[in-house]
Amino acid sequence: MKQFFTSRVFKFLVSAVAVLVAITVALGFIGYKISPQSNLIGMVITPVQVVITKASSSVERFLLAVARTEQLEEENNRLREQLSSARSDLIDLDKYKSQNEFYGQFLQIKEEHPDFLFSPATVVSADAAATYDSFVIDSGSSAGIALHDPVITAEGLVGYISEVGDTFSTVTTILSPSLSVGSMDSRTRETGVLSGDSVLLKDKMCRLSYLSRSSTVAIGDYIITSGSGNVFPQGLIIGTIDHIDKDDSSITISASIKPIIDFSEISQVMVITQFSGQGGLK
Amino acid sequence: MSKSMYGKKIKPFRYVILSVVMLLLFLWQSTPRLLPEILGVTPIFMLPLLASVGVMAGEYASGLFGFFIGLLMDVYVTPSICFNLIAMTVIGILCGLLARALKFKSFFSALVLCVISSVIYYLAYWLVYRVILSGDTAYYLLSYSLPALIYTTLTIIPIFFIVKLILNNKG
Repeated sequence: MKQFFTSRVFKFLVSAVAVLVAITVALGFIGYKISPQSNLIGMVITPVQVVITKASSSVERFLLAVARTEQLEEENNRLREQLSSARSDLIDLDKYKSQNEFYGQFLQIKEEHPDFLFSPATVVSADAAATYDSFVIDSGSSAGIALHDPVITAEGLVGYISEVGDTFSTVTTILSPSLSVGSMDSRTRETGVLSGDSVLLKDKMCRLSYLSRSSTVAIGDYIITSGSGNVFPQGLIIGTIDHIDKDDSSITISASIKPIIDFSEISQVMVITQFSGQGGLK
Repeated sequence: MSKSMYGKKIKPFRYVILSVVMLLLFLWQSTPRLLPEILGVTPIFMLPLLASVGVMAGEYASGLFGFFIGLLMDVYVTPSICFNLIAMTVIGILCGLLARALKFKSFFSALVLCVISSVIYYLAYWLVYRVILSGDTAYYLLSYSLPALIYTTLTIIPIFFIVKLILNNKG
């Protein structure tokens, strides 16, 4: 065992780890959020991850198409040959239809917010140890994405860009306890701070805190971004109030928020690279 | 050529094959919706892999594999603070040293090392990312880390025998 600690392999490991940590910490102090080694490896790994993710989605669509086709075959033998030949066309049609629906929904958002500039991205991977706190998308600074750009889907707010590489980025979601979002009730206009919560994370919900005790928020109210801090534009839907927690010992109350987005199914997102009034964290 | 725990020399090309398998397992564990979730968690294949390499190839191999695994895993973690680089390198070295010191050579030895590695990793992850960086409580540890630890440990069953097949250890 002593031989190992005096070996060249051990010395290499210690010095390599020390150098990489020092570089990462030093760059962190001057504002870089992603380490150079992660950026370099990510540039190589991310395209492979994209291929695997797309292949996985294609297999899923194919199996659904097969199941649907098999149901029709049982119901009508006469159409079996026609359905078999239409199967491959159906897979392509489903793909184009979902793409059209995806972009069509964002066209509506663009019409409501003409100042938004979008960059589309696909979810390619996630940290195996994290639970919907964060994931990686296949676009980075080369696509115009910058740190803290908001990330949305057609339904609502997903989170923001927490790390940017050249060809990939990490998104921290609203379920993460490390992200706080200035929010308000769309009906009463009362404001609060929304962030992730470990207890609520199991149900894929988050917490809206610092509501006044005289608050008139109600279950079912929609929670939207307030725009405070200029990190997120105002008016993005976050979710709905699921439960209101009134602690007699506190001067404020909080509410459990069910996000409008199903984070277990998320596959494509839009990054808002520019909006009117953007500023905030830099 | 390095020697395995059974005294046999392991040819370098076997490490190349093991590296490819490691990469494929990493891509698999990182791809969303490709692994079934149990109680909302997915396993980390790299921990049973390190335990298996530690048992069959010793501390040099497991230390190096841990280093490169840590580099890979840090790509998809935020914030990027070299947590996995340090954790996996240490776990890799530890697996190899423990296996050699305690003369661990069997599947059950790898299982024990996998449990130890998983406890260390998930505890450290909780401390750094949940307690220090997020101000969290023990709820995450019990609700997520514990099921993840069990799920991860179960994956040693196929992974150990795959590594044994690749390194051609007939001990």
